[in-house]
Amino acid sequence: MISLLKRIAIPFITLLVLVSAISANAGPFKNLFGNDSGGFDLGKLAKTIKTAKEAFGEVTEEDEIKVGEEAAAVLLGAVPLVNNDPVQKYLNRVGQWVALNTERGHLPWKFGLLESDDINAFAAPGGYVFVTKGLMMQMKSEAELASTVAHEVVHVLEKHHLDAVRKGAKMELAISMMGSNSNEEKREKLQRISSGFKELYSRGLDKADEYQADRMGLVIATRAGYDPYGLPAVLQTLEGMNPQSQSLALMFKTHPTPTQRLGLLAQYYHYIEPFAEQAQVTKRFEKYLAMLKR
Amino acid sequence: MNRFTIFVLMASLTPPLMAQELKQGWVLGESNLYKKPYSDAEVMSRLAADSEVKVIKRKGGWYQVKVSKSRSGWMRMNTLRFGEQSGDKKAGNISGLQQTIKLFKTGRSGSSGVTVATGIRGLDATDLQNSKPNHEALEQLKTFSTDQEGAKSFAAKAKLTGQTLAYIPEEKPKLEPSAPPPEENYWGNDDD
Repeated sequence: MISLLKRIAIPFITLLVLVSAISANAGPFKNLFGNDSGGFDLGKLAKTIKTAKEAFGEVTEEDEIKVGEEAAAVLLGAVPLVNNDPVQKYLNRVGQWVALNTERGHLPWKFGLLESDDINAFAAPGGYVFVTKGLMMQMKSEAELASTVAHEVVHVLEKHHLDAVRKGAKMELAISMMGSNSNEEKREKLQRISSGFKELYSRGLDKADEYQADRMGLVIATRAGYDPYGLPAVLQTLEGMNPQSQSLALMFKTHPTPTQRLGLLAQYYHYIEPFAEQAQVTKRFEKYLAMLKR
Repeated sequence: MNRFTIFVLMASLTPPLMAQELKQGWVLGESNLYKKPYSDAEVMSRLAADSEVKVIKRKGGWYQVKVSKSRSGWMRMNTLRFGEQSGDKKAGNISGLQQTIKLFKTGRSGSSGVTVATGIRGLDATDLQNSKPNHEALEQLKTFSTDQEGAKSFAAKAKLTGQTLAYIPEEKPKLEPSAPPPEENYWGNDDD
């Protein structure tokens, strides 16, 4: 019975997904579908579209950003922002410029420096990127900072975190119903989402996602005009640190080792070598780094 | 004020005037020391595996290194490694593995999210698990953002120019045979 339903439903739903994709760009239609106000046909259509999106893994960008806000709030609940506006704004300019050199430059990108001596960086859906102060203080140039940001930006571009938390069926439901009416219901869903991210941030992404972020991040930093060897430089610094250091524990638990990552990146150096003369931008970086060390 | 007090005062007021200590690196396998950072530059000498060098600076995929008090040259980035050699001369050959083993041994296992009196503020799995989502901080974060124009002029100030470069096609990583297959079954287990 179920398989018969699937056979009929798949082509039909494919069509509906197309319709919904078109309607997503057209305000009036969107309201019509969403509000159930367009008579029997449209109302039913709207419901089926929702199911189809669930089935095909489509989350609207709007919902993606809302989910990301919850995820970012989880991180900020674990560790505060560095209390230094100039440095925070500096990081946002670097990050926004990096993000502009990608296919999702239009997202509402936000970048935050976290007040922690731990060495780590995080991303959240919809355009959130965080770097710890501990990591930034290991860096020597804006190119290194940009390359780290670029790695995190890839997690957003490729929706790595969003897809990872949605693997739990309940989470899928929660996200697809973000826009529900009752406050009670909404609160429960947000809580489910935030607990999904608590789990994900302590467990980490698939290693394949991390390697993809390295590979694409290498290109993005190069596109932004930076010295393309920033990411390998950061990884070499991490490789040279005492692996037993507490400040590396979470990052090492959630990522392949720097040695493994460098090994993979080394295959790609011939792509970036023609851009080797691009700027490291050290003076500007050092100015802001000094503000952190004060 | 006795001599000791003066000494303490002096010590606390004197900024660290020493030149920044050069970072120690060591040679992974027998490698060339070049006169300039180009692969067709003159080779000054061959450095044996495990030789120690001091890194002066980086230029693209090259490090300028000091091999003795009076001799310096350039090495390819991936022929060097940073960090302590930990006494064991052979450490370099197995340290990737060692590192992984250490990682398993030390993985912080969420036993303590407590910050100790050293003033070090960590961020471990426990901190994340215990997080109370902070929306106030999120609102504050939003005030730091810049728009696209702001980012462009910021980049222009450092003479950064956007480049066109396609993403690198994935080469099947030999290091990670265990990447999980993508989930094909969109219908998941919801039917059950």
